[in-house]
Amino acid sequence: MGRGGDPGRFGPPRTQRAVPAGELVLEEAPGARQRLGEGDGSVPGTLLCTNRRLAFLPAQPPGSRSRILRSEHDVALPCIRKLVAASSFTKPKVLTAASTLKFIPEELAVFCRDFRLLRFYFHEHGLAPQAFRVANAIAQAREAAAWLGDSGGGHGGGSCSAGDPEEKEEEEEEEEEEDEGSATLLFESLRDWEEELERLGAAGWRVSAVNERFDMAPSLPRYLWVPSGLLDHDLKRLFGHFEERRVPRLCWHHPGGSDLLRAGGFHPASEPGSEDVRCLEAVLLGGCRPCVVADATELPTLADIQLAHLKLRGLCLPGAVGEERWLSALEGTRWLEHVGTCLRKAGEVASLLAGRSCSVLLQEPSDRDLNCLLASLVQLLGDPHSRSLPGFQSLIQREWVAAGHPFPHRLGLLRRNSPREEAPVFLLFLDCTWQLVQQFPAAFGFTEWYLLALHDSSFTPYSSTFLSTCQRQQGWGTPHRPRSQTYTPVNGWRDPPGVSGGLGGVGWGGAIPPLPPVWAWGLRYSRQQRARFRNPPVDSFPDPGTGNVFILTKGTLSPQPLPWRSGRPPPRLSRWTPSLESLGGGSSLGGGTHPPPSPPGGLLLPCSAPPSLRLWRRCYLRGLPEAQRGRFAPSPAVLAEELRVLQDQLRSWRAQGPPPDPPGRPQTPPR
Amino acid sequence: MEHIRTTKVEQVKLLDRFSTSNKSLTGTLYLTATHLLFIDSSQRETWILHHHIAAVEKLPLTTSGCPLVIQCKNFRVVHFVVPRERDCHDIYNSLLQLSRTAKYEELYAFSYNPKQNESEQVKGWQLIDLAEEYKRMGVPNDNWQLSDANRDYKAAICRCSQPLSGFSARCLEDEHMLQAISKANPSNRYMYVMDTRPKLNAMANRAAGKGYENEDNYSNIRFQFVGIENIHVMRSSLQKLLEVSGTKGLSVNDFLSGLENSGWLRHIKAVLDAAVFLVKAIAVESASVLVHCSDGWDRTSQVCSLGALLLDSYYRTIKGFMVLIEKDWISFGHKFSDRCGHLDGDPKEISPVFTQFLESVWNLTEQFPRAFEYNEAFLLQIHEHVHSCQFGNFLGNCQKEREELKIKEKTYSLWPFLLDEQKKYQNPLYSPDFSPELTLLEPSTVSFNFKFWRNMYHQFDRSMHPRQSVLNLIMDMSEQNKQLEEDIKKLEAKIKQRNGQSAAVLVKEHQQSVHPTPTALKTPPCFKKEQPLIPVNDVVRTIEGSNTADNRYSEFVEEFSKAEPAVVSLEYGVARMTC
Repeated sequence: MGRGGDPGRFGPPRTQRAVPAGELVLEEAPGARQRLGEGDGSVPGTLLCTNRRLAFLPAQPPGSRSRILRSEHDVALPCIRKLVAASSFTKPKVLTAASTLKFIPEELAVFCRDFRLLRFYFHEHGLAPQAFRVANAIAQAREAAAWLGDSGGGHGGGSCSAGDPEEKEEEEEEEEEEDEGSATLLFESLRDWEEELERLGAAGWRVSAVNERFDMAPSLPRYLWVPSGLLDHDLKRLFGHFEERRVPRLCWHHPGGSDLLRAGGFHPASEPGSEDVRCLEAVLLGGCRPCVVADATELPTLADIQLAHLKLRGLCLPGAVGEERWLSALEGTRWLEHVGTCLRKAGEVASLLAGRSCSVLLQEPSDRDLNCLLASLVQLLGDPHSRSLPGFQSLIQREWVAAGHPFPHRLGLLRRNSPREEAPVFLLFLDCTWQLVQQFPAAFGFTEWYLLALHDSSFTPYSSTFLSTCQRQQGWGTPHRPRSQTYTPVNGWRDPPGVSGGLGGVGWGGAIPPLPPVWAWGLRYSRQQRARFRNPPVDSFPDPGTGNVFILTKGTLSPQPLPWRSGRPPPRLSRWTPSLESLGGGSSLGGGTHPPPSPPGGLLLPCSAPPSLRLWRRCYLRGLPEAQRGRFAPSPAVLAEELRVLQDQLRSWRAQGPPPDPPGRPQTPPR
Repeated sequence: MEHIRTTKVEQVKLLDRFSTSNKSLTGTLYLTATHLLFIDSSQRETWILHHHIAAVEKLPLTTSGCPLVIQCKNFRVVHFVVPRERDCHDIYNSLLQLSRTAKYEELYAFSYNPKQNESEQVKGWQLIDLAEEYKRMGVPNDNWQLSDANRDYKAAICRCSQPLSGFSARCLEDEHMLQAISKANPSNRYMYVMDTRPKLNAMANRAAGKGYENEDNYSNIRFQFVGIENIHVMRSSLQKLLEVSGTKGLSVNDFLSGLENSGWLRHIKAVLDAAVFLVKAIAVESASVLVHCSDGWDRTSQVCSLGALLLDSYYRTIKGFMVLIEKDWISFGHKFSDRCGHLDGDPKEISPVFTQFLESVWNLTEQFPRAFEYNEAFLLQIHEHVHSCQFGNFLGNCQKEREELKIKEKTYSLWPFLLDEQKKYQNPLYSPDFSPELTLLEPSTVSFNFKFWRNMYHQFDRSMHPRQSVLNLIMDMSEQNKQLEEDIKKLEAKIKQRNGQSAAVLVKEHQQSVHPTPTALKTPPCFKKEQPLIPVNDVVRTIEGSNTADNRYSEFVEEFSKAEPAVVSLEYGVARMTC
């Protein structure tokens, strides 16, 4: 891969411009073609292999400017799952760094972790050397990127900055670097936490900076929401009693008064004194409400999730399943079953919060995986704000990124992962969210396209969001550093340019520009693509949750004090909750009143019955072009926009009265 | 009516079919000459037409009363608990009688009176005119006399039943006929003969002196089996499907494997595969195709009508679809009454052949969301009325029978009623010319493209529905847009009028723009009963029943013709959509 270091190889200036700072072109093959769909359609262009990604630059008419990073043609190296070279003379061969190519490939198939399948072919014989070189380069670079990513920052690899590729060339894009970008709370600063707490109207809670230096609990965020009445001094007593020192803290406050909390498991070795127990109760029973503990026992385990996802990936390969066995093969993955379980559980918790003023504590031993999923799903169901685009981003930022979900491990982006660490909990969450969007298409401010973009972005090294395992690590600026390396804060703060750009010597003089968060969508997605992210706005929800809206079957939900003193988590939540359908069905139990067709207050209760759970085909079946037909209908967003224009127009007519000089033509937007 | 002994029972419970906690509604059950009606304590009504009832079953007595389970042909399943066994027994017996009609003349269609005068009735029947349709297709022409062909292609789709060739014997008449057909196609001297049966079945038929064409005995034919199973296999497949989808507390996994084991989606795929084969022969090879099965009225109807739908965009319009059903199903003698069990008869004749056709069409609409003028609600409504016996169209087993019954004098045609409510059935995404190359649809028949049709089989199970429907949403919005555009036009016209009183032309324009009444304001005439107004976006419907306008998709947009849409809309957009 040494060739890339030679700037002379960069060829025409266009190519050079197309690479963000810090990225090196290792090999390129102009005149390659990317296959489109199933048939013979293809586009000509250049296939690039850099130290970070494999990219295809479609041939441009001269003079036109293309984006640097194009989500649809890029694959980040760690995202490549399998690389297969084929030629008409030999069997297809899986390429790895160890086993390099022995023949001239005619076609190159790239199987991605995000379920994409990209196929390139080299149709002219004159291309043979390039084809050969680029294929090998990809195999090598992929290996290298994966290793480097793991061994700490500094080596270019996946961790170094994408520079600011949107600079200069993207001015117009940048200036409308949208409201949602700025409206997204990253929960890195005290202000974000305070602002959000205020939005929730959670009187009785405050922001505690007790973990500001990450010395209380390294994997927890800097700031925690705790009861106002509890002093930091008292709070400190609690850390030791929980696994990974992850104490109970507020996630969300329901306007009706109930609270959603999350915590790690009780530390098996801890022996809380009476004072500790008093503090604990102060946290959990803040509003003098009974608190229900919802543990993760019913939910799939990490291993379940990983296994299901592996099978799902296998299923979605072309030709993987015989025609007749599709449904049972899908069943065999158990993926949809897990999706259903999570939705059901989240629905139960959400209705508990909305129905009775009790608080719910989500408790998972590590508090870093399924708690993230459950906490955010519950909020999606219960909090209309979280269904807006910025709200959703803030939610992920708080419940996943700040809460310390170990993204790189779970997504399997690290080479050194022990296999047991990989478990795409986040992707499971995205699937659950997708199901909700399917079931409540008008309740969300974002679309399936957005979720797809987020899904794919979780594999790319161009944003900081998914590259760290907790807020503490993110602060270092060098993700992936194992926490055991105590020297890193010093060393990793700012890698000298020479190290970062070590392979090619492309320095950026001075400070490393920080990686942008994934929410800077303008980086990889065109304005057109981003327009598809949005669903008609959901900004004027009625103020949710005044009073009890549910008539629950008597006695199913009697508030229970927590059996703290026994040290054991209380019985499972489901015993006390009414089944979902009795709430969601909407047909009254009590009779008398007209049953509301749906619970008010912005609470969504999804249907988790089997026919309502669907396979996210647009995501998982992307490698199978024949599965993609017909799902490209226009979104309601277009119509909503039209509606808005018309209403504005009408309003102005009414307000002004007829203007003296009517415009020549009505501004009817094209239908 | 002599069958009705009890007309009203109070304190009846309606159990939720999928509730694991036996949730129920309490209300009053009424029995009328045509319907079973349940009104719950919050005055919501459930109407069940007697003709829709497929089976009534009395379960063993329980402590709370006597359970009565009614299964309907439109896949509604209701589970009542009647407090006194005596009442339950009466109702059970009445329903048994009422749902099993012996004579055509006793069917609802012969008593149904939508308050139309005679000329309207006649006009209604003339709405779909097959002679005109053949003219549209360009037959008869030099090569064809009145028959079944396709306008755009020289090739033709023909249909028949199996030849009477028997074992090793030949059927000379048939050979001549086929030669005549293949000569009628100037562009390809070969023709295809499609036997839609599995080969095994066709061979078995030989023993009875029937069978299939032997390529050797015919000049220029290519013979092909396409393997659609017979009506009995289809019937039991549907039975399995319903059993799976009706299971309480079903897990995702049981559902998927149950669905697969029922084979239902596989059968739908086979039907569509055959249609795709047909279309390829016609469109790609310009070869004429003769399609047959055993009798030529079940599988043949499915394949020919789907083939036509793929080839000719006219059939993808609302009116065109009606024509297609009239042509390929009604006039070609699909035995609707036998297959749907309109009369008390041989249960072995009942088979969901037409349902499969509708489901195939639905699958196509899913694959080509912009190619069809009609939506799912249209298909569901047709399905409803194929079984309702409320209109004359589907009564009888063939044209001859219908003439003998004087259907056109004594009953009404469904089509004008559907056309009147067209708005509800329009696909808001439809765009006839968004992609000209789509005149010919080439669906993918990979098995994962076939989905369980939830809105058909769970049409009446509210808990199974997605909580909001994009379709409704889009329909509402486009309706609002239309309304706003109209308002703006009106306002502009007013301005013009004010500014240029003198200009007569403008005044004229103004008058024109003010008067058109939105068709949505018309009351659909076939509403039998006043329906409470239901908010348009209220996807979780509160009223269900089985009178005409009464499947759950029926009420959409009327609300929006009201004044002040500017104020209404966004509130709707948000407030109503939350759940």
